[in-house]
Amino acid sequence: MKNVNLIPTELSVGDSVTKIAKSFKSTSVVLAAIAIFAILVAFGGFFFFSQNLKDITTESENLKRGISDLEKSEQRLIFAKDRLAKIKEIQSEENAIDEVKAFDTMYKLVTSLGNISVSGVKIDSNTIEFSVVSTSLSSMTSFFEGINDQSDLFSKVALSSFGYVPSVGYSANLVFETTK
Amino acid sequence: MKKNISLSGQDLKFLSKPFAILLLTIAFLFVIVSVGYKQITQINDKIKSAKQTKNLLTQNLTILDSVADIQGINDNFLEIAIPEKNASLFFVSLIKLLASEEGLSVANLEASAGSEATGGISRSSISFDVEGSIDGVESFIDKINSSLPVSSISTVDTTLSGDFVRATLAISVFSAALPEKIPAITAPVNDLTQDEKQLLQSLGDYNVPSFSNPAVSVGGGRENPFTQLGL
Repeated sequence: MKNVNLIPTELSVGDSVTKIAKSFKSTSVVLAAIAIFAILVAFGGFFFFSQNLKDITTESENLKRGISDLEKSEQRLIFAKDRLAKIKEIQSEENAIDEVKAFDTMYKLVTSLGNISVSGVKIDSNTIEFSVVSTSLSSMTSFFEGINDQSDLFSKVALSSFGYVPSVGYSANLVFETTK
Repeated sequence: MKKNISLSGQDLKFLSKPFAILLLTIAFLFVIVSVGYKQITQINDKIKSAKQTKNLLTQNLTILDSVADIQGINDNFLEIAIPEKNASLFFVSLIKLLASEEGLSVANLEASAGSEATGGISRSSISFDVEGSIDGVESFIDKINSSLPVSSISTVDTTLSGDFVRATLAISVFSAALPEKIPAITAPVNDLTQDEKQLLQSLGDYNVPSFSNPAVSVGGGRENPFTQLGL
């Protein structure tokens, strides 16, 4: 069949313009198809991720319920941590118990010697002030030698006084600085 | 060679409709892509955050599930180790109890009111004289140090005469208010460290004093004195 163009010649357009119009139309169709595909992908993705989020949220809610059921354990744990931290802080403070133990060692040394006795002791968290009396100078010397064997207990020993009273004997006052 | 394209008014009119459709389609596609991308990104961020929360909650639940298995955590010595309120009176009773066990006499007991809390810990000082044998005093000090509540020996001033000792001791005892808040359910729960577990176990070796409660006398109440008056 023969094509009959009834459009008046002043209204007709050229072939190239028709080609451009056709390419616009076909591009629009392709883009529209891509847009529809994008809508489907977006909806599909949104649905998939929403479901994923819902599942995770449900699991989290279950875990929260589980944690709420263990509230007593949580209280106990927090209480224990609080008390243990405070005990640690107290234990790091100065305490004279090590000095008392060091005194015990020195006292045993004195009692093992004979003719020498401890007359007084002052203990704090860093030092032991130790007073001894003896009727014999050799016992006093043995005591000083004995101190040397216990050098791991002390960082420094100072002889603060040494005297002799005929009615009592020799007296010595020593200050031990303990090792921490 | 350049080709000049000249469009007449009729050509432009003819092209305007498909061009407008093309522009609208491009705009539509742009809106779809940008809105879709934004929505997917947002939901992805929410999933990331939800996963982090879930992992944290799982970790918290695992820790809390294992709390009961920690040796010593449910024993009551933690409450006694550092009491909530001033422990001076309790400690004075402990001193008397331990001194009597060692056959020592205690005198001049003085207890100060608790000092203001530093780092949440209040300190009270107790001073007293104790008399007896040197072994008794040493054992007494050792027992004080290994008993709860936790204490710290500040000074020991001793006078010896043969085996007889008179010692003046100054001891600090501690108290601390209970923790007031539990962290939010989504906050991380910290398990006990190895050091803390060791310290907790070592507390089990401390002596926890037991004081006997005086029995309440039953019966023997006074007779009704008003019966004689006929009331």
